[in-house]
Amino acid sequence: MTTLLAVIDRISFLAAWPSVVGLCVALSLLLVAWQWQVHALGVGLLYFFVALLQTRVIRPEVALVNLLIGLMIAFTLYLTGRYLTARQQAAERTEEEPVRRAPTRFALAAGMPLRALILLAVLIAAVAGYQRFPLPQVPTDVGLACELLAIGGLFLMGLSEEPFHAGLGLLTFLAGFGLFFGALESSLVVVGLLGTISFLVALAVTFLAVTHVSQWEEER
Amino acid sequence: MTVGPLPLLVLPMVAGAAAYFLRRWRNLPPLLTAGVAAVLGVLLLALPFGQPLRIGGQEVVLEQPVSLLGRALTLGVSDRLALGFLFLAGAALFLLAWRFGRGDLFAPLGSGVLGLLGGVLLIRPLIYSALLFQIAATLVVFSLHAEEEGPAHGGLRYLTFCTLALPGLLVSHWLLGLYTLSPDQQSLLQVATGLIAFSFALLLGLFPFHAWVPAVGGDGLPLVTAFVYTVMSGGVWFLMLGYLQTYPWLVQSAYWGRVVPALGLVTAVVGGVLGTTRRGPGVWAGYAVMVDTGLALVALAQGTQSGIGVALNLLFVRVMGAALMAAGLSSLQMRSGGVPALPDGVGWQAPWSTLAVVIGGLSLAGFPPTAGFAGRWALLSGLLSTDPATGCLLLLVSVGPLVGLVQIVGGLLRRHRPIPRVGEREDTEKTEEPAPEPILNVALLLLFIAATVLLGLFPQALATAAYRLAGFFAW
Repeated sequence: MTTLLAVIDRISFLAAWPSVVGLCVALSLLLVAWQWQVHALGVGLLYFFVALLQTRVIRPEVALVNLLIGLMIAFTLYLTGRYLTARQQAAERTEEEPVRRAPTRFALAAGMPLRALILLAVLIAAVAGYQRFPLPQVPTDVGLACELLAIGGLFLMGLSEEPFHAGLGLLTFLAGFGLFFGALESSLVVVGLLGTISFLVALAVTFLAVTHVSQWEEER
Repeated sequence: MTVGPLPLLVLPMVAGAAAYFLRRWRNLPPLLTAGVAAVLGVLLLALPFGQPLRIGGQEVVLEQPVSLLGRALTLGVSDRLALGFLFLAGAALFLLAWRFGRGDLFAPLGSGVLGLLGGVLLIRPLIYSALLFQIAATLVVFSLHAEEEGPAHGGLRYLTFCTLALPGLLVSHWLLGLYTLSPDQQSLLQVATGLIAFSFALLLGLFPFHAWVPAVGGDGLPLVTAFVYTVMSGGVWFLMLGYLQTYPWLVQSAYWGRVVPALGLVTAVVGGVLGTTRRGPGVWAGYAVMVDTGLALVALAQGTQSGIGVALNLLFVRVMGAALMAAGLSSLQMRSGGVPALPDGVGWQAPWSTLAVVIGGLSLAGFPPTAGFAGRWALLSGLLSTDPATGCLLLLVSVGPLVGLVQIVGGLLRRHRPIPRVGEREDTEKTEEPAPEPILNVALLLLFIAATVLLGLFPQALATAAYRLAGFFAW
């Protein structure tokens, strides 16, 4: 733990505007890309920068625990994505169709220009929203990051009815809220329960994603 | 050692964990969880307040306050009645899951959720109740859809709406803490009121946040859907009454008398209008629940003991209709390959299940002589004399789900006889007779049908319990 805290201390210079930029990058990975590997990476990055920002408002040990929960969530999403892809490929093989190779390069979501515009809209809405309704009790960069994540999460939820992609929105929204509420409520029990909720939501989303894909297979 | 009300939280969770590991024996988990929930429910309702229980030579006083993670856990009289209702409703649904259950996660997770709902009602401050409710709602999603079967829109929407409701409840708690330090800042109070109202509108599925209600019915497993509509909704109602009790200025606000009845009215109208359409029995049940919620909100807005009593009575009787209909639907779905959309004419294959759908549906729609009618009539008769316009409108929208139900039952009982084409010989082969309904299933359905009709003919017992409970929440 001491070593990890020392690492956090060494990278604490990132825990301000660089982290907000990092969150923008993570959000763009979630919004614009389509590959599940990129989504899992995006979620991991998102929780990393959220934990960095959290070191400014709560105890570093607690931020570290939140980071571990976030990485577990990213890993869960990675495993789910891998499972879904494998099952999809197996279903295609049994139908004796030529097996489509999964794209190995960075794949962009369908309607990429629209999604890029949405990302821009999220950034503008977050900045404008922060200027109009600045969040109390948190520094400017942290407040902006919270609004960015909350608005980005809402957009992600609205963009897809698929559990996996909509679930990414839910998790992003919860991460933003957790960052804000951590500054308001210092109780460890509350922080712990919020972390538990995030992890359970991630599990529920992956469960729903699996049942949803089954229906897709049935329809085929 | 003081355990206080802790067994009410721990025992259902332990039963749920045990049921999970006993899933190999199909009948055991629902019976175990139903038994534990029923015993706890009866104990809460029958045991005199403050009387100690003797367990293993030790005296346990359920009302003795204890501390859980540094937070107070207290069991008041109102909590006992509310929890008793939730446990008995859960027990009824687990019992039905014994014969009509699909998916083996309902009993284990449902029992754990009952324990969490116990925590929601007993723990203070209310911020922890909101967090525990979110955990409970997330757990329910796991059992809402059968593994590797069917779409999952309902679960996703329910999870989304519950998650969106969480920040409002948590931030309002912080705002109210600030308000106690600086009572001159009225804006804090206004923002907190708005956040609390927004959160409960999401959790109750009020218009325009009602999307999750029909979606859950549309593709969720029937009995788990009934659990969401009754036990989870019951948890939300009691949490909301807890908020109104803890923060009495919420009902003193100028908006209360105007906004709450208007929201209830609009929700009932939307549910009633959409309930006339034929979109499958599960979705229909969602619209019927919307009408019920709207009516209950109109009753609650009256702010009197009788008004709150009517709202609680509507919640109590909803269990009968929702559970009975869910059992019937589940049975019919099992006969038609497990898909939510039932094929035309399937009702003839299982007449008792069809009767359960009809009686349960009539109760959900509030039609006499079922349990649902008694609750509605108490509200509508009062409204027709004091506010005839609202009363007439609510009476009219109550008919909407009935129209939808007639269409659903018509579809279930429609006989299909393919018309032979010209030159084609009519198929004279005899179709295979469907297997008769198992005797235990029929007995269970008859028990619930009888209870639904009897509670409609003799509604005093439930109405009195609801009125008594309302006395603890009246402001």
